[in-house]
Amino acid sequence: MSASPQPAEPVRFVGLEPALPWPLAGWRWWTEPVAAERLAALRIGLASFLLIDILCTYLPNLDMFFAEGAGSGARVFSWYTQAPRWTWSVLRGLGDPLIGTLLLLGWIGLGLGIVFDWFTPPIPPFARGGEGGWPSGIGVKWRVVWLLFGVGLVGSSWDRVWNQPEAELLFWIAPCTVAAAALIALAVEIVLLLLGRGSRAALIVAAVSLVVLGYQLALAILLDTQDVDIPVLRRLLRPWQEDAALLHVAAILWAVSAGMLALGCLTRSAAIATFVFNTSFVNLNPNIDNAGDVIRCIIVFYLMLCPCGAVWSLDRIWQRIHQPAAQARERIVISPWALRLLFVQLVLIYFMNGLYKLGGANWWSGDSLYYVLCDVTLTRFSYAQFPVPLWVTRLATWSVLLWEVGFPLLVSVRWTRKPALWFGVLFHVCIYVSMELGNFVPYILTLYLPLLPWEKMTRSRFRAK
Amino acid sequence: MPDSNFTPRSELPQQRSFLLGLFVVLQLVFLVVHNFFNYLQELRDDMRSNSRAALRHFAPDWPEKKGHVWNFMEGGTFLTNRWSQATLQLEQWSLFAPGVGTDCYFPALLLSDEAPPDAPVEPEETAARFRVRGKVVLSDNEPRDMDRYFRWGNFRLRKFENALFPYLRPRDEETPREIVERYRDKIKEFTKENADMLGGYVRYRLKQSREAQPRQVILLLRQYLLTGPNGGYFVEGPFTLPFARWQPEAGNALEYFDPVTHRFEPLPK
Repeated sequence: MSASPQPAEPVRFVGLEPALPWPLAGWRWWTEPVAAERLAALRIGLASFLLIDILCTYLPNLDMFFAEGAGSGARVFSWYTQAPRWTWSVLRGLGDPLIGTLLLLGWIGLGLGIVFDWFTPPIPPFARGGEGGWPSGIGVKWRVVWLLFGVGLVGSSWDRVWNQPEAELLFWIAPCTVAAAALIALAVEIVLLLLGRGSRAALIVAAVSLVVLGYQLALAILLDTQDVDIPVLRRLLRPWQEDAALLHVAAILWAVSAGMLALGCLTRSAAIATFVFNTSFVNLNPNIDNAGDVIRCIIVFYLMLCPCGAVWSLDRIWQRIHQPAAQARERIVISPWALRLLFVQLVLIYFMNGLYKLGGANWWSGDSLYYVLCDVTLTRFSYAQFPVPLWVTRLATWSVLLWEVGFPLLVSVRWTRKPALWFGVLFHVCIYVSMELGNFVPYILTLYLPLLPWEKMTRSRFRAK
Repeated sequence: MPDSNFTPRSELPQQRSFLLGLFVVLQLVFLVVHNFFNYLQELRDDMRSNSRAALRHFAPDWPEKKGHVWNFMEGGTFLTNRWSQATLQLEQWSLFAPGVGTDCYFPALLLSDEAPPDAPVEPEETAARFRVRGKVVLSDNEPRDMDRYFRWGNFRLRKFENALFPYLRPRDEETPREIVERYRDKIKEFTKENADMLGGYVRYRLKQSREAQPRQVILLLRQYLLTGPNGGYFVEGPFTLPFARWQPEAGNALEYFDPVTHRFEPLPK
């Protein structure tokens, strides 16, 4: 008896599709949309492990790892964020030279974008997929970001002025410049609106920008002329790393953003906040992280850029409540670019490790894993408790070397792909059992999550019900 | 035939798609260039002469860090290094490679109420037998019994404590005198460069131990050596080497240990 044909499921594409050049454009692996569940699995896995990591390894040792005077702190690791390095941390304070530079570049870049926007003819709504409302690419969000960059730039300047007791008080220069730019923006927006080319929202943002920056200018004049001190503002502008209470606040915000990312609540904002806090904490102390943390940082970077909250998220539940029933049943697909880049990353992780291992005599002689299992700083158990026979460690050493070097080839061939990936899972599980490497194993196994057919699993469960 | 259930993707904003496409391509270039160029540049230092000779057929001046190919690679890694730092994609994939370490280090504190010795420890005594009476506070990561332990957690502490010491291991061709002289220079240089980190660690660890403040706190390096597959018991040690000293009554300054004179010496300004 043949089963009755299933009605075709409506499919909706979410997010952006990159315009890829040849040969990527002709390669289905790069262009064919994939189920959004795969990206969601990556998001939930990564954010959950990160939350556990923050709560169990970072928060209990926050003072030792990051605060001043405990073997860490800005003095010990100041070299790590100094030029020519581009390792930034917002916890080093707005007055940090690199943060100041990034704020300045962001403010100038967005400012030029807005100027370009003024002289660009509006794009008709039909060319924009009927979105309507905005005349061009630099919308309200980016104008708000421009305002925030301006406010940050003023804060950065004030922090530096406050930290130079001998220098002349010149609080007014930065807010005066930024407020003047906001005034020009407001004037142009008014003219554009009168000419029928502007938008009210842009005008409102320009007006709000002028009010905020004008207030900063007034405050600056007060600071310059009355020699007023504002302890709360000074405390907020100084490096949060030097303030135990603010450092804890930042760590809690980091945990909250990771939790929101796991739940898919305001996913894009949560991912950006997670990236900012994650980067800021990691760059405060380079001596406490391992390769697992590097993998975590890379995944967070990608999650910030792709629609990882399209399904299995509170955002999606919210959408469903406010959508017609037909749209709520849609199957959601996304462009695979982020998952493909992460797979290339996974291949490179193993292959580069294999290449470096080829240069080690221990790997050729087969003794490497014997030494690793004897290492009393990182093994979970004593080698005396579980003396693994030498032939086993030798076989394992050569297998790992062969597997890592051959990984690109193994995953390129259809017949060897699954065994190679399962070998990887087994290898990492063995590492987890035998060694205390923190969250290295959970984080790297997170990269395997998008390879599982989550959409099939969830649909078959749904049908079974 | 087109799928009627599929939302047409041509409606998506083209400018942003172009930018995203550009990002994907640049990201791919970054991954390949950063990993391989850095690997080749590191490889150059350990390259054998016959490999260098072979390479000269393709890039004549590359082994001498000169020429267009070297400049191209250096320019490439300069850019990719900045991008990797700004976006925190550090791409350092040499885990347990090229070699696997055969030394294991743990820090410990020796808390002593003895007055600092006026005379040096007898010259014939080895560094490993340097003794000052006091209480030893071991690292939370150091197993109390090397035959039997179960480790859970503390991996960040291990990473943190591993950075407290330089690599100290005798070389095959060195005499005992040369070894201690090299150790002295290395300890002095490392302690000077990392005085804030070492001093901070010593004070924090003392506070954490809840012991009363002693007259002197000595940072000890406890070294275990892995004997290898043919060496009998799997580990030897600990071999204890004093590394630095803090005298709380004398302020925050650290002194480094000189294994030649067996004295603690003030750090040069």
